[in-house]
Amino acid sequence: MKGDTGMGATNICGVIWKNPVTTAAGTFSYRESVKYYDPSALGAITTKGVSPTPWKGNPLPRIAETPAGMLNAVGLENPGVDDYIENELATLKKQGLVVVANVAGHQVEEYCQVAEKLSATDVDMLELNVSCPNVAEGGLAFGTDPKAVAEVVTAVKSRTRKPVIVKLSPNVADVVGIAQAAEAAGADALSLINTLVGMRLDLATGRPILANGTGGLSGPAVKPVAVRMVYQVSRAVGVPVIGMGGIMTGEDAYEFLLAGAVAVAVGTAALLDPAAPARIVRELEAAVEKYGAPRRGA
Amino acid sequence: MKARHEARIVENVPEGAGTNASDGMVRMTLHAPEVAREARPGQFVNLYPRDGRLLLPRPLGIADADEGAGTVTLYYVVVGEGTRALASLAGGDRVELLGPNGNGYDLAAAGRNVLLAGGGTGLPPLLYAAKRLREAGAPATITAAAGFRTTPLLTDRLAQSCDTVFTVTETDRAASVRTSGATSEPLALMGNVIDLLDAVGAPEGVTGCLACGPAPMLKALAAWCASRSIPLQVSLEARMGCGYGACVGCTIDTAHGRRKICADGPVFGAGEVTWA
Repeated sequence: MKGDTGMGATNICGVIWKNPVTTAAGTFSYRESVKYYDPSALGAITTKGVSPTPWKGNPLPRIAETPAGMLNAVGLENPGVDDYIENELATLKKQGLVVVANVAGHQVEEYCQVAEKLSATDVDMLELNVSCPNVAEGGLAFGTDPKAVAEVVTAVKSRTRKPVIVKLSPNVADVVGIAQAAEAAGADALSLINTLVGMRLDLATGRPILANGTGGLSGPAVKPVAVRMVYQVSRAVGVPVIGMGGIMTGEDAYEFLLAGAVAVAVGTAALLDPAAPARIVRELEAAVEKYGAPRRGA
Repeated sequence: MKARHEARIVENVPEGAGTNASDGMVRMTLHAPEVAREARPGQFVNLYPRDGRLLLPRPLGIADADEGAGTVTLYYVVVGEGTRALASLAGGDRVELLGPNGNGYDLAAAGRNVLLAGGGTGLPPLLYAAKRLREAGAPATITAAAGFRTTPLLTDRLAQSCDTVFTVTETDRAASVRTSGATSEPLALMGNVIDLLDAVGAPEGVTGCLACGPAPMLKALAAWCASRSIPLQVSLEARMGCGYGACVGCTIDTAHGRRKICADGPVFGAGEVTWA
């Protein structure tokens, strides 16, 4: 079967992915990416963060290059959940794809509004981006405070019956504590890591290159941090963990499975090579053949 | 399906007399038959530096495409690590590319009496536009206005496809010339493209303008063309992430909502752009 990694299908919270590879939120375009590969080669398509109303995102420049990585400060520009449902989701579901909708909000109620609207659709799963700034707490990211994470997860779970994945921020002292708070509040699965906050300065002006000042670091530079966090979190929780952070090859993906992830997401690699997610499915299959079914280490 | 792929470098050499690859403009010709076959003026290709530190593509405007030879020509100025890595490559080396990307100019909509306006390193796409306008069926009148900070670049190549090329720099009055065929006459001007156009006026009977250059130039040109009812297409530039429409790193406001410069553009009607 196309897209089969040789490990068979993966059941995540009752949703069957035909292989354990998805896209990382914000790196797949339903209009552009499909010109480079057949999305049905993947286990699931995770779409870009969607908010209750259209968000304009941050001013340009939004992208800066870093050694073996990149910073982005897109600011979750998106057309809003209604447009998402009518266009992107409808297009993807018409193709029979498993779709994970990434959900963004600046307040608990905003996450809930999006989740509620998506509940009435055939989207398969929700992924909460808790790295958004919490307006009620002066812009501190929800994901840095176990209580705020628990509050969002509890509220969203009360408004939807779709499986809820909570995407964790790595910009915390104790990622395990946050993961456990999310699980206790009812998260059906966890995904990690989101980007690491970083900055680059323009040598000529002394000012940040990104108009937003800071941005999220992604790419192979962050992979060891991601593997470490997936390793720690997957041992501390009972819910499935989806691993991501700098996966460029099938062997990288395999390493995340070894660390304890049940599935992986490909992000920055797809920005550099549009067909990378489909390539990584094939390479992961080869890695499984070479190293055997991934076994979580001691 | 389209794919990122390797292409053989035919040549990668300094452009213009007295320049070298470390401080001037470099001309790179690639053997990339599929890109050459599809390329339209105003489109670009992503080039990926062969360096594990540098992952992001360098989007470069297509300056020429020769379907028969299967080659594509690009020009770039060495401004940082990525372009330095590209400049270190030699003929016979391979480079990874993706393209052609973006929409390109609508040459038919520009009509048959076309003004090309270029600023600095914005000239390469106009070279290809001029060539295609010249090749198209009906005879065309092509006038170019090119502005530079210090040193004119590529104007001799532009003159090969244009009836008239006006050149100006911001620093050297003697560098401003009007070139028609083999004849050149001094203009005794100093300034930018708009100063130049103000001085020489719109070409008589002009049907459309195609432009590429820095944002302030394009914004001023939009006002200049609007006041003369000249339809203008601008090729915008931005620091891009993926360069193919996935990362949402380079969007702008337009009359039709948010648009991605890399995938919905880089060419937009000047009237649809919400100028900052």
